[in-house]
Amino acid sequence: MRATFAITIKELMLLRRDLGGLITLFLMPLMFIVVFSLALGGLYEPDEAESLEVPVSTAGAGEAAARAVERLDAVDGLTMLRQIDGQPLDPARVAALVAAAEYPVGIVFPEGFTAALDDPRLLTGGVDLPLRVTAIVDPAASAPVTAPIEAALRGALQQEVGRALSSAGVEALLAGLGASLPAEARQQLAAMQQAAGGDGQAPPLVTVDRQVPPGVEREQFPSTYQQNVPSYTVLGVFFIATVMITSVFRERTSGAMRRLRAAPVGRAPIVLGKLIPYYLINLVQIVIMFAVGRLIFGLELGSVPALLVVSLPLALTATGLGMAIANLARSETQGIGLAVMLVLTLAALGGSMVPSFIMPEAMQLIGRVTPHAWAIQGFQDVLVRGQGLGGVWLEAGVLSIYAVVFTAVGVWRFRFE
Amino acid sequence: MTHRYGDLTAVDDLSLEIARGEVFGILGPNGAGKSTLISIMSGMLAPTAGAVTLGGSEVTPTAHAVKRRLGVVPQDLALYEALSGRENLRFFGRVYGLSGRRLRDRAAAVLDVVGLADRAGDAAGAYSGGMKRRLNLAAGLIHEPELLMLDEPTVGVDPQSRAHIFDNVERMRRETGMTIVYTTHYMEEAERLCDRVAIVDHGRIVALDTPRGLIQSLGGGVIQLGVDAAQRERAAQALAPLRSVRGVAPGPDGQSLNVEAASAQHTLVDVMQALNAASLPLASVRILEPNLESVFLRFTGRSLRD
Repeated sequence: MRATFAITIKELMLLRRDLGGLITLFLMPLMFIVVFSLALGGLYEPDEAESLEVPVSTAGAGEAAARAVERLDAVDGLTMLRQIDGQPLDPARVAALVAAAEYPVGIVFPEGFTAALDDPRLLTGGVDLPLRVTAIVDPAASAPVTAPIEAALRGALQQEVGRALSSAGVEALLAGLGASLPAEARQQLAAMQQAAGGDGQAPPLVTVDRQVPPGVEREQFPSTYQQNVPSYTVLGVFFIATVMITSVFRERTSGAMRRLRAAPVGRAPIVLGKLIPYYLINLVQIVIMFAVGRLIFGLELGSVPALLVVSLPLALTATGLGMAIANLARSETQGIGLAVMLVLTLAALGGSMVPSFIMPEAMQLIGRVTPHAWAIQGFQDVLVRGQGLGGVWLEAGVLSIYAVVFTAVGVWRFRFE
Repeated sequence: MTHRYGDLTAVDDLSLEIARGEVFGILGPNGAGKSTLISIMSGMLAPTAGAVTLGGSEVTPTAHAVKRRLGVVPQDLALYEALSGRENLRFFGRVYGLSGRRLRDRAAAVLDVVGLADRAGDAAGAYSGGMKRRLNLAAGLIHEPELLMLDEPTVGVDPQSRAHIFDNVERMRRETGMTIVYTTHYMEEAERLCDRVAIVDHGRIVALDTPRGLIQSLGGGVIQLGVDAAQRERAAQALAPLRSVRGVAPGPDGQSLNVEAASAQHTLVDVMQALNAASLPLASVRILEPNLESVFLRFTGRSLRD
């Protein structure tokens, strides 16, 4: 343990004297985050001047649905498509159009929507509630694109519910129900009426169900910084491999490694001593990246312990990979070339450079074999999906397996010369 | 011990014993097996066959307690150039289990021994070649080993640093009784520093004695004759009866004949006359003065710097 500590301290001292290299290591992913976020912002944020077309099916849904669609049509930037090529759209056609990525979102009103809203038994248990309007969302579309459409839909529905519960509507309902309505129910109705017309909070008579087209796995979609901060952090973390390879080969070339071979210390403490400082650097790097995301870009971090649970094995996976390459490569040039190629390829496949949710499914599947994909998914489970500790164990577990395998290869293939 | 790298036998059934407190020299041309021998003796490498023991304890790559008693000064400048001299020594000291005050004291002491105390805080990369060699030596001494192995410690060193290293070796021997194994290309180093010298070639010890004993084995010197292979036997028969000749033997290179003489200069005349009388032509004649260089040439057929 003392030898490991000594090697760790020595390595940190050497790193301290190569601040330029370290700064590059930290700046590189930061630059990626800033540049790509600015350059690709349009992918995540719709152009205001461009009107988004939304296919909609109101088949059998009646007047209330038609009115809601008209309200949506009136929203700036939205154009509702009720028919295509002269053919009215049905739910299956809307789903097919979205699945084919022709439109980011489609809307389907349920049959009997208006009849249910106008049913006098709406508030007395005679109608199955809530009424469900479906927003069919393309998995490739980012949240900033889909969220405003869904919000507009909710707004339009809220107004329709408000209309149904307006004074005249309630009076009509009350008249229909007659004197048999208990006083308690009358009070409830009055409260709901007030709520619908007052602060705009609609009771849960109608909900919007968010669905991906049939056959497509449900996903949640990240914002620009929810995508870029974890992606480029993961990319940057793996670049530690190049620094480690240089360090290992420099130590071999100088003969210092040979001297260590003569010392009373096994290969495992030496490998550990070489790993620990870079592991710590990786953790600091991750902290800095997320701190920048939080403080400069306003990224909501969610559960910090959960982020840590993903970060710990991620950092070890990256340092383990560096150690494995340093001991498999025959020369420093070969090692660095191999590391850069591996790091960039794994990053591209794993979704560090291009979000995996916009890749073809086959590429997404291939990407699943990379630690990058698991790390990004783990981070996004926390950042996007709001998961806590319990939601990232799978990703942390898979990353731990990578970490153990890479580190074991590094120890097994460790060479003093 | 024997050690093979695939088909190549680097150390070939070699056996030797070094006494406590002895300075033992190993001479050999490049590729003779010296480095492999040092690697095995220092526990860096396990021999293919055989064993090395230090005071009865076997030296192996995993025998850490034994390795703690050994010090190695490799031929390479095995240092961290970005660290200062003191930081280098403290690092290697920690690796050998030193800590705290003892570590600080030892680092200061060895810096003093090698004459680098005033430059201890400078980065090793800023040192001259000779200073780096001295720091290299200091790193091998930091933990006060019982046995120190110096692998060509004076290669590329300026005269001042070389003298410093010689002084250090002689002082360590005198003051601490440390056992030292010293490999070198330089005969004058072996003659000055070593109690005994082993000449190693092709992984074997071809001669082992004190420097004086090895030189005396040459007698008054050796006349090395370049004789055609077909005539070598006849030449040997013509020279053997001469009174001034002590012995005649084919050279290890297979292309020469070594004539040992009481006095090489005087015997040369007799040798030339005898060969003329027998009508034997000579391709070359070389007189080897009685020193370790000649001894080395006699036993290996090669110059030390080959």
